Amino acid sequence: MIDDNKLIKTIFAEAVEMTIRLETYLYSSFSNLEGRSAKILENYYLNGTIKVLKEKLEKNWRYYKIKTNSNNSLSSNATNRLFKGIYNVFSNLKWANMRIDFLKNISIRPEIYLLQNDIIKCFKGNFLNFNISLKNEYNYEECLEDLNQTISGENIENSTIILLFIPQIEINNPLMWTHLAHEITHAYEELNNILKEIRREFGKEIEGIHQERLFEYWGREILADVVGLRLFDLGYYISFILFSIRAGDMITKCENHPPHLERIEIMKDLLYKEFRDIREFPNIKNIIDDYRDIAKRYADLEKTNVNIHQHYIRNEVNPEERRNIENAMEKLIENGILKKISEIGNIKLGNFIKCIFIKDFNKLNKLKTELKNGFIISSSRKDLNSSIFDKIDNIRTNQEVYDLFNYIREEPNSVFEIINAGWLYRTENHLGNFENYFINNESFEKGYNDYKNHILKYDDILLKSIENSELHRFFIELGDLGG
Amino acid sequence: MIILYNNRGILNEIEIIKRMLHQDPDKRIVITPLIDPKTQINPSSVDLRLGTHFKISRSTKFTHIEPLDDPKEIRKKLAHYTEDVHLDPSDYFVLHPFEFVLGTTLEFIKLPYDIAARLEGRSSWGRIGLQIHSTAGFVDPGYKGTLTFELENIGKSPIKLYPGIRIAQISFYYLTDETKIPYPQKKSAKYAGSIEAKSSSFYEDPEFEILRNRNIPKEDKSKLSS
Repeated sequence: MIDDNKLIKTIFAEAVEMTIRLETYLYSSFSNLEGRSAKILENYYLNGTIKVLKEKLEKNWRYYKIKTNSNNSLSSNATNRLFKGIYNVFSNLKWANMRIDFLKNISIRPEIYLLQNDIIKCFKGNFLNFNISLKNEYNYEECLEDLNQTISGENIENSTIILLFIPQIEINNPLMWTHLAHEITHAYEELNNILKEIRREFGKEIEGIHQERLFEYWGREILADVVGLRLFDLGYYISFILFSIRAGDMITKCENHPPHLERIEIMKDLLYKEFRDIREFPNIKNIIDDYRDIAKRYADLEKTNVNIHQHYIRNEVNPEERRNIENAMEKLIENGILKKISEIGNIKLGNFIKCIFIKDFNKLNKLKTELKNGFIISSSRKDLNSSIFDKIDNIRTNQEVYDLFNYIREEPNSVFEIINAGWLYRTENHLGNFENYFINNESFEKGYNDYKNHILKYDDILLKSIENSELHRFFIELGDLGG
Repeated sequence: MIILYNNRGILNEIEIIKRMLHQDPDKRIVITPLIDPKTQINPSSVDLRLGTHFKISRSTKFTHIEPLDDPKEIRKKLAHYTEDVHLDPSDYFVLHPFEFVLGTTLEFIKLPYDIAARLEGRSSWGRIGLQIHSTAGFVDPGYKGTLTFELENIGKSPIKLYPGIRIAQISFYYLTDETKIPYPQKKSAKYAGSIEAKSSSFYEDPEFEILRNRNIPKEDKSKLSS
């Protein structure tokens, strides 16, 4: 089990990062606005909301520094107090995100569309038209079809456009875009057929209207998680855990979504199963285990420290039906039905999702080192044979010079590899960086700004890597470029 | 083991490749992504491609930058009057006659401590009026990041620029000895590690800090805007 210091640092780092991202979004957004309203909004949000959030962070920063002075480990009281303090920042951030929904004057970077297209290419068969928009959550909506039908009163063919929503504050954070894989899957019509096939395998294990309904809703979520894992494996797993922390909800069971902690356990088991050679890469295994532990400990603290609905069911439901729904929820979890859905789903989805789990950990570790050095990772060169070094000193002919070019030729990395390497770098260095830039700084303001520069720099590196790898592929598709 | 020649001067293609493949990462020249070495490597330079990011000035309400203002305020002002454009790889950017924008290389560059570089235009583009930098073509040893283009069309017709086209070239020079203060370690290094086209940070020069502290009166802004 991870120690509380690590847990608190992890969630603290998330709260600081979210504040930085909100501030950056607001700053860019107000830079695009003109006139008097821009000034009013800027005063209200940047000098108001962000100031308050930073004051709250500073209070926790001071308390954390006192409590961990001389390398003391955190007492249970200090852990609880810090948890409540940081949890409160998350709640405020959630509120702030909802209130800035009207600010959408920032253009969406093409990299999101590049990633979206690469995800879609992994699905077999025809797919719908997508567009990306900003909201305060990850979501999807079949918008145009509904609108056209409402206006015309009849079905209009080929009018479906899916809107994929990403939270405003994640607009430049490619690491969290792994969630697009989950949302895109919901729009994949084949998913319903796969779910029906899986349902048949359970026979009478599922009984009653409530269990059937939950099986359908929760099953869709589990299958979308499996797709997320198949495409981004480690990246999807960690981003989901951090997303659950940021959302401040690890344990709630609601009718549409199984509890996040349960989903995390299922994902962990699936990763273990797929990464059969995981023992050869202890750093990967440790990451998977550590993050599961973080989620579990977070859930414990959530249960004891904050007032949270453990079941979230529609208000109009009468008490008896509510009990039945709650029982159905417990049964689906206790009987391991969700886990089975993921296992069967993983096999069945194999026929529909082309991308498989990434297993080239050597390459990922190499890309991670490049990132650590501050390099972009859009492409990689093949490993060199040492004989090249003798050859290079004895070049005689033009042809030998041309042959040399082959050794420095680079192949583009896939966006999936780039994002996974990004996650690997982040998880292995994140807490150290957070400690160096933010916690160990003498001044809160300076620490906050240094950490902000660090985070935004890595966003830029990853965005540039995605963009360049696409451009690189584009040129390869054009064929021989001549010379 | 690669033998490095002791010639001092501009690196030829073989020396460039040797440095790109060098086993010691500190001695290595990095140019990534190198999409097509056969096309890009010349006898004594490497062609560089245009990236997808541009910075355009919105000057309709912009009179001047007051270098003696608080740097934070200048940064804010610059952000307000600058528009970032990120192109899709298959999209294009039209540079109109006498228009000035900042762009960036597609490639990420890293220089070792004993090599400096110069960024130059390519004559094919120069002949239709495209300038890729006004004055700043020198790259210090130890530099790491993308290079910012100062793009200007001094020709008479608009130029359509596609991301990935080869518009510049970089040549490399040996130093007489390794530098002791490579660019990123220089206190006043303002552009180290740039990934995107970066606006000027001239106001961060220490001279302005001295002038600010001496309370030199700023120019009367009303005169300038009238």
